[in-house]
Amino acid sequence: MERLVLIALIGSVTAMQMRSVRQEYAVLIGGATAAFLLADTLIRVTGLSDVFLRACGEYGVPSALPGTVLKILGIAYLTEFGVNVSKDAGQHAVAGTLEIGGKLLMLSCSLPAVVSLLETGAALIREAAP
Amino acid sequence: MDVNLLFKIAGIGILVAVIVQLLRQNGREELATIAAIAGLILATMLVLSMIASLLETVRRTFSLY
Repeated sequence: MERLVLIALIGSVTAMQMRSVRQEYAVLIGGATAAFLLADTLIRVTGLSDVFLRACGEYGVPSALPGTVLKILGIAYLTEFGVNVSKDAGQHAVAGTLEIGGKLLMLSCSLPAVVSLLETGAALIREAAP
Repeated sequence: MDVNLLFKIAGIGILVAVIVQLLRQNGREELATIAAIAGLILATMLVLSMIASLLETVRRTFSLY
């Protein structure tokens, strides 16, 4: 963790220094630092997704569900990264559009789960009151 | 996927700044612009390689395929 904090600080200060010399390099350095930190963090927590999947398999959760949850998590992190880098570059329109796209993608990923939930609910109601 | 990549990008930035300044002083504005764009393309390619490895890591961690 200390290594990540150090890299973040060095990257931020370097980007700040580049801003006075050539501005576009500040965005590039900031984006590269953020990408490096995110990748380093994700490499360390790769085991968590395996544990999550195995636990869901053991306790009888339908196998499509944990995969969807992980997929939505990944989309969220990537969208957040892209939005922050775009905002750093001063392009708020690009960031906003990317955010909307990420939300739509997450919605479309979660739709099958919602539909199956509705089906289960409807089947229960139909059984209870025919 | 290395910390040195960050310093490479910073180094390219400083080098481009110095070269652009020198060329401007000698009155070669168009060469200065070309050098700036070339440096920017090089740095962007390095950043894209970092982002590609980030995307690969995300794909592997979250089983996005």
